[in-house]
Amino acid sequence: MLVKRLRLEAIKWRYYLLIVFFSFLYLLFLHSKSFAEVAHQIDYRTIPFISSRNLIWIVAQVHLYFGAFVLGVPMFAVICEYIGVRTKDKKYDKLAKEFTKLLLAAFSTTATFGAVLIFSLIMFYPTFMKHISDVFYVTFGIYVLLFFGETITLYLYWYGWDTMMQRKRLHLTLGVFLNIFGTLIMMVSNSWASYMMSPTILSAELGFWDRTWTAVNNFTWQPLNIHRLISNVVFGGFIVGAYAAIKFLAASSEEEKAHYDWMGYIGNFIGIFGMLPLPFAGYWLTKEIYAYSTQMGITLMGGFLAWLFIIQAILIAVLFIGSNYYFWLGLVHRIEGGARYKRSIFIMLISIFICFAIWMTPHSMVASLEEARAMGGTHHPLLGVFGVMSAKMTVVNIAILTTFISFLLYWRANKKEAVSWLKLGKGVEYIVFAGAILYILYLGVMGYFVPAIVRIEKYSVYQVLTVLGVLLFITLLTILMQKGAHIKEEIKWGNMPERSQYVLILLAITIIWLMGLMGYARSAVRVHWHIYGVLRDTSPDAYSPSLGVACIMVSITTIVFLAFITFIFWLSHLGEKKEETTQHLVGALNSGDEK
Amino acid sequence: MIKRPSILIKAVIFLILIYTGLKLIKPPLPFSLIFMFMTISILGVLIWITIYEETMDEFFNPIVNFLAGEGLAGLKKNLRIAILIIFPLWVGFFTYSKIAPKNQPPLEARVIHPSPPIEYTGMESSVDNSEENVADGATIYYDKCIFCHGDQLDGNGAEAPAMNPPPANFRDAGTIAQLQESYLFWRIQKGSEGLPIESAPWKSAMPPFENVLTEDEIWKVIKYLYKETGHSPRTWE
Repeated sequence: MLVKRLRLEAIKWRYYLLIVFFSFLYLLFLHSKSFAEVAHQIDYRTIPFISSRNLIWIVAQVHLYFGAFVLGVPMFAVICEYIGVRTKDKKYDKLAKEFTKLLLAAFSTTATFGAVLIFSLIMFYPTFMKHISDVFYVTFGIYVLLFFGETITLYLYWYGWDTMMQRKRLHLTLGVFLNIFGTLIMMVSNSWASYMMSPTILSAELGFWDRTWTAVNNFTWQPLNIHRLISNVVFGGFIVGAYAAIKFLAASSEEEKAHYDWMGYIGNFIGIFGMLPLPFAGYWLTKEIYAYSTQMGITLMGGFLAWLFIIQAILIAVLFIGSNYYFWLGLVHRIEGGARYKRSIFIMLISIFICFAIWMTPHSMVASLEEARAMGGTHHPLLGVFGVMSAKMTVVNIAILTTFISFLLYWRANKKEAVSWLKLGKGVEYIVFAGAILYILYLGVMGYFVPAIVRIEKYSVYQVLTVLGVLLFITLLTILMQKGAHIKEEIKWGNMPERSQYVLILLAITIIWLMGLMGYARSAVRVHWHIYGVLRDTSPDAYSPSLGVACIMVSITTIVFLAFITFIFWLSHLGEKKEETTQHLVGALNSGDEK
Repeated sequence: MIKRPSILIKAVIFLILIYTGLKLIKPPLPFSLIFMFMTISILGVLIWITIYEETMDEFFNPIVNFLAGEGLAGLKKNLRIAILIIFPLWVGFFTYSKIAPKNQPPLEARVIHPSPPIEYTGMESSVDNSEENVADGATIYYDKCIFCHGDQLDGNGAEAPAMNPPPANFRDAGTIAQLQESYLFWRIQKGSEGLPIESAPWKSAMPPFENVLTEDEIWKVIKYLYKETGHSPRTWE
């Protein structure tokens, strides 16, 4: 059975690898003189009904969603497996394997969309592809090699899971290599996308390798790498959470319910804790965009894309509020006596909502003529102050700390600490949290009275470092305080109301939509340039779609992705059923033989 | 003994208080902002209520009983019928009032900061911060800019009431303090005529000064604006 499946998988993979290989060959031909001449004659091709840009938009975005999933999931699959090895708790190993099963199911679709994307780009944007291949053709080769590396390690990692049960170190090493290959693949493709935003000067004096490296190592490459790396983890976490939620809702036994409740909790945990450093990575990326080109920075944050950030603020608020709500539901329903946290939950709820009310307040209000006249313009003299970065950075940092407190309460809820210095430890915690929040508020207020550069280079950095410092310090302190703690009561996994599962599904849809919308922002910031300031878009599509159009397009990509991923997960579920039936039949036959 | 109000009553009182508080803010907040704050407040209330099964029952049971419960009679029954008729009508009227054409311009999400052309970004000032340059800048400001932007640099000049949106308030931390000097140079030199095509039509009455002031004179005005307001221009180093 396994051999047959392996063969089928191998045939399927050969097919995908051939597609990638021939794409690469075609690009090499494109680079040659005769093909280049042909490519020069036609700059653009289009297709009826849906413009070539819209087609590329949908294909690229869906490929990115799948890419984010297949790069994010192996990270926590390996971590889960490692925890399983360390704690000798088999449920972690089972969870890691389930993560990898989802990864394997999505991997081939990612590759397919990648191939469709490259063919579409070659077909519809030949001049652009010629420019990109002129600059990056070496990286195409590296990409193909890395892809082979990732495919082979993924195969070995998945199919060797049971065989290497006794050689876990080797298996974990494979998992680490799988992540390394995946991350490097992402970095290579990020170099193309970031070069389109912030191209570097490639002078004729530069040597072969220097030229490639200068193009790769452009101004926004590293911040984009970091930002995408973290967001892949967040994306993977929330998608896994939604998968677990659906399985929870469809569960037929208490064990199954408990398992998928636990899986959903882990998914949400990964998603939200990945979210904590994400605003800082985004801040760095935007800072680099401003530093590279003020024009581009203003288009993004003050120009026609500025309203997108209000939508982004709402979506981020949904993610934070939804995740906290899920934590609180867990605290109340899974932990015996969780009702005692009513007061704490109330304070956290108020804190989160005040933070996000400020977070979502725009600087320039949407107002009718009369309303604008009454306010003396589109800035409100009182609430308009919440619209600038100083206020936003302050509240998002406080919201992150509040989310961390939610998790801390959950972490400790079912344990009784036994250390003699418990009172002192708790006192220190209170002081650290209160001190950090006051300091963040102080920096936020002072941010209005200093030059922008001081706020950007110093105050915002101090706020971020304060939060990261608190996260680290309190985590270490809690680990020390938990030494020798005894468990008062077991967590009642599976004892969650159904609404909690719909929250997980909502979080997944929100993160997909958010990622698509921010992808539009990153792309639209180039306005009428394919490669900013270097290669102008002269096609009939050389205009920036409005936010309304972008929202519709992103919604389409979200639905397409959800449809594909649901289908893929359903297929993997079918395989699971088939395996169960076979095992059942074999078991029945064996028992018959014994008789 | 006074009966403790149910959580449904508490929630309604809480939302009314929030709404009243928002309406009391002067100058009045636009509808879009009140709508957003109220949505957040309702969401907050619903989250709080649905964390606990007891509060959820306490909140939703009276509503469900009133709308769909058995054995309702008299005034309560009539009230149910009235609400079931009035509520859909109200939703319909609200929708109609929002989408029906009005003799008013539509709401707009105005873009405040147009993107400067590439040739202006990172442009260096040709004059320094000397007292002499600042004094020259003040003279030019009082000669050319004061009528709209005002003697206090707060956008409240003699001609400001005729403009919508009003002229920029340079003392506001959200205007020139957020911008580079080169950005101001572009806006003064090109005025509304030089605004980019994206997000058009722009609403700006700013005249171009490129044929009125020399480049050095424009830089001197910029030096005066920052000196007088106490703000610093945005820099990247």
